[in-house]
Amino acid sequence: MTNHWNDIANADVIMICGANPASNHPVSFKHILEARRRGARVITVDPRFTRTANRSDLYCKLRPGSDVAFVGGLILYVIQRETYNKDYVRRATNAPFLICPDYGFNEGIFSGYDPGTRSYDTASWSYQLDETGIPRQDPTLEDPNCVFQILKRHFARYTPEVVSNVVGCDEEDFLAVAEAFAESGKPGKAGTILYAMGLTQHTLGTQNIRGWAILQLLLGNVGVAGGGVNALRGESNVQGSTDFALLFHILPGYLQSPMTADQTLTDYLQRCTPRSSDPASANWWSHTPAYIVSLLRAFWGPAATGENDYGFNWLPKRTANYSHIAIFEAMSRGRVKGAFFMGQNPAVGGPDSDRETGALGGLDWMVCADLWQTETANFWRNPDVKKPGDIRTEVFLLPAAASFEKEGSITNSGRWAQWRTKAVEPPGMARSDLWFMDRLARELKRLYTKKGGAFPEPIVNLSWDYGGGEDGIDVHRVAREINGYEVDTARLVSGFTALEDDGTTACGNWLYSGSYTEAGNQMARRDPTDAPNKIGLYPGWSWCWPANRRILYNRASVDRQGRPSDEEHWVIRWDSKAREGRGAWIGDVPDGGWPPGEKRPFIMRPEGVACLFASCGLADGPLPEHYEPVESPVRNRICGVQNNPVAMLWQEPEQEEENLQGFCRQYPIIATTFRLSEHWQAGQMTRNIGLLNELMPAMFVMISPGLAGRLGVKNGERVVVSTPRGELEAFAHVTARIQPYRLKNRWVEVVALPWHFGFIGKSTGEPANRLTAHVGDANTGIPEYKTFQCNVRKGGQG
Amino acid sequence: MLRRPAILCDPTLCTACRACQVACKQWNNLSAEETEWFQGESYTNPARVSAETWLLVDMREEIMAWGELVWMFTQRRCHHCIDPACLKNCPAEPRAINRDAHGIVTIDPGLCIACGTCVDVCPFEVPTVSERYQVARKCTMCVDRQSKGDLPACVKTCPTGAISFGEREHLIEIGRGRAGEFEKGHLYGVTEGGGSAILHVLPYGVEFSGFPEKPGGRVHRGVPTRSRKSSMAGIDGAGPLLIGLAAAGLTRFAERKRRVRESGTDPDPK
Repeated sequence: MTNHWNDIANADVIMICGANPASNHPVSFKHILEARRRGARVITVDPRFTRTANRSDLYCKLRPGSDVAFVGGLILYVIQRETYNKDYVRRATNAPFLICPDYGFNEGIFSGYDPGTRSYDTASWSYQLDETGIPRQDPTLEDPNCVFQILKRHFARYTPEVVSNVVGCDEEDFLAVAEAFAESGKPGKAGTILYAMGLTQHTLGTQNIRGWAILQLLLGNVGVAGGGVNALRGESNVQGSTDFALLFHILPGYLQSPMTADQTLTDYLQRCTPRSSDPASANWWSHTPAYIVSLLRAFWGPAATGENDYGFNWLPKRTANYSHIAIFEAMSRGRVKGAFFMGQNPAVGGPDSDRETGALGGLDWMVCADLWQTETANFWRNPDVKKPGDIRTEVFLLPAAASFEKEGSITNSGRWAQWRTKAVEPPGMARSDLWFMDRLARELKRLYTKKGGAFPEPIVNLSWDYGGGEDGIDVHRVAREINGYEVDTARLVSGFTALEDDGTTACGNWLYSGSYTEAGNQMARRDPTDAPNKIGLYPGWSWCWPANRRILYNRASVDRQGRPSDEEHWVIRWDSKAREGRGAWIGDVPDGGWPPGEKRPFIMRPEGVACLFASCGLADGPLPEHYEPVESPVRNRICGVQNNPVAMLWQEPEQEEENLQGFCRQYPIIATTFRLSEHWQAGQMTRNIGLLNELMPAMFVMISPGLAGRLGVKNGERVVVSTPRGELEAFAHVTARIQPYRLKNRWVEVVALPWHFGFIGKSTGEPANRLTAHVGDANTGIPEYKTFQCNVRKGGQG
Repeated sequence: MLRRPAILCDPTLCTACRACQVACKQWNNLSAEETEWFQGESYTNPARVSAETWLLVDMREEIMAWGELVWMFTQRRCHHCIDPACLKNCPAEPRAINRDAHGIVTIDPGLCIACGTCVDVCPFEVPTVSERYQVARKCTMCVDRQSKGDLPACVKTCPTGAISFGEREHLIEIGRGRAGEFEKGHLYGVTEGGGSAILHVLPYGVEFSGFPEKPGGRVHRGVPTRSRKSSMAGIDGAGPLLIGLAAAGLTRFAERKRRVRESGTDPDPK
């Protein structure tokens, strides 16, 4: 989240798209309804009429996978009707920047495409630079090569009529949403976007978010109270695990992970440290050297020296994509020998779950850590496995402690790291994940020290000293290392500005620097006093990265004199009389302490402004473009290219007209997956609880009354849903909450399946992910869980 | 404790997360019912309030006259009536159902004879005789929590303020304001059946709530004179109704209630 949960209450318009907070983030609805009580309008755009839609002022249905078309239509609407925030767009975005004249977009393809490698050369997407290396600008926004004009041309095709034909909604519904949300561009008004996996789990996932970010920037909604682009994270601490590099392409604190080309630390810094010649750009990532050297110093302690590049070459270097699908594809080819699954259950949660379950059989060993038995830990007992005896994988199950049975921090979607104490002892032999990791690391160190082996240095030299506490591991020592300290004195640093690139400081995650200082554990603070601006910042409650800044990019909320554009819900303000006339910021922690006007507001970008046009960094284009999902019932009506031309595929999609039609005859119905309030993720934590099973006892599929009528299926009867990956049986839940889409002149049906069920636990059911496919987003590789084609027939065993 | 504690249920703030339904069962140690599938309409589960389900979020999908789909979430639970039919008709000696000085209606399991009279007369179909415990059971408004200064479990757990707790007069004021925001809005429980401690904001009026317009307690005929508990030990000349019921088993109460509802008449009026 750019903003945070409490801040939702400050919004004037709340757009919920690709999220169902009433079901999946029930407590968040407190803030949404508080906003509504204060007069905010709540809009839900979703394939289904959800519990969230039911509590909204406006609902518009949307075909899964058509989000770019929808948001593209909104972008055109605010540009055409000039409801965008002109001052903000000039001041805080790259709208005036001039792009290379070689840039082009033709028939669905951006300039620089190589069909052979299915990738883009992004050189033509770059800025025109002046002789000092600063991007050229046209403040009138009229130059045909300026970002604003390119944006305007690009989205001119996304008219309300086109949108309604692609999205499958009524034109009036779309326009009602557009009118309501465009209101948030007015001075003193703010609109927020709340999204979740409904936007991300597509081959266009990243561009879906980009689309909403562009809209928010046009309306001046980023950096302000009640605004922002807000990801409602799917698990209580998934924000924390992302911050700590659970993903393959980053190190802690979003430092880039090294690639094979980075032969030395200098090579790495050359590639990964952005540069800016613009004195008005803070270019915060220019501090990358201090952050990576302090991280290496935390990893390897005194063994990390200037002479050995602080152990840089002990870091693994990647050659390719190691996202979820890629790992399982490699596993199914026998290239992965062992795997840890800690709090993860791919046999239920992974796409094409039968294929992934099969891949597990290729492992020599597998370790699962969970609260209960999982389908993954028991994959060899899967009812579909004919000869369990043939599976040679050795499986270990570690009994994990639940969140209330251990001490530590949880970082919520709003970036607040909240310290939790242990409430109860874990049962039996259960231990915290940290306990298991500590024992494992120490044993590995001991064995490598004793026996040597290939490339032992990274493990042997590992600085690993977290002992103490009642069970031999002190989580506070981990938290202090994360905060960072001066190597000589062991004194905790007060924040990341104290980190050095010369090996004198160590820091486990620069973003969390300041969370555990000499003043104590800041994450454990529970001061319920609000800040002077009374917008729900509560700066003394827990601790928030970065630097306890509660609303990111807040410099964009003030003018060049430091005056807020929204006087009622101001975030920061420059008090020129403070500090004996030298002036100071009041309110939230600003994005850097410079006086107003000195630096551009978006300090993490080398341009210093937010990017309506992404001149670099994305695999599939500088602007979002609508492509159909890899499995779609229709031809792309917006451009001539059917699918995202750089989507991650492990098999070629059916592009031929004839094959495509044949495929759609066989699988004519759109399918999507979703979550329920009553169950949690892959289900181990809830399908073993009787009171929750009572509410949601069985796997089902939502079917519209019209489709049910044609299939001759009544509510509560059994149906079989099939895709090329497999088929499953479930109860039919016939409901008007799901309806077909009208795509120009034909109606297309959709069914929706909760993905919580599996074959282990007190309530069981067939996993929805048996039906989903191994296709991924062009940038992140996230699977396209949210839309695929299926067929439904009456029947089943019951 | 409050002088006249009341609970305001406002479905316009409810997201049907059903945390109240689970919290009620957790606090009161009620067991999970075996449900193979959604036993009620939409996601409603189980189908009705029972001896093991004292609070149920009833979910119904209605296509309104103007074409809009509305997903209605209504709380089914004891209304804690000011003039309770269950209490008036309780035949046990001494009476097993009481209304305390604060207006909370409870069943004393030590005095309850499990005769099922309250089951029959309650206009909201709330009290149910427990097969397991051999007593009629229902919501206690968490009087045990209230007496220690805590909120009732459902109120405490509600994340959105759809269930609020306070003095009845105060909640009537709030509830009337909320109901007044809707054309057909109505605050149920102020006067219906003489009023109740549980108040429901009904945004679309009584018509879509499933509540009776005039919840007068049904007249109960053939009131048994002996405890069913003693009759289970040895049938000793109790009235014909009692014998019939004992022979049929306690589940018969539920079946009978269903028939009453479906036919509109009491099929077993002896």
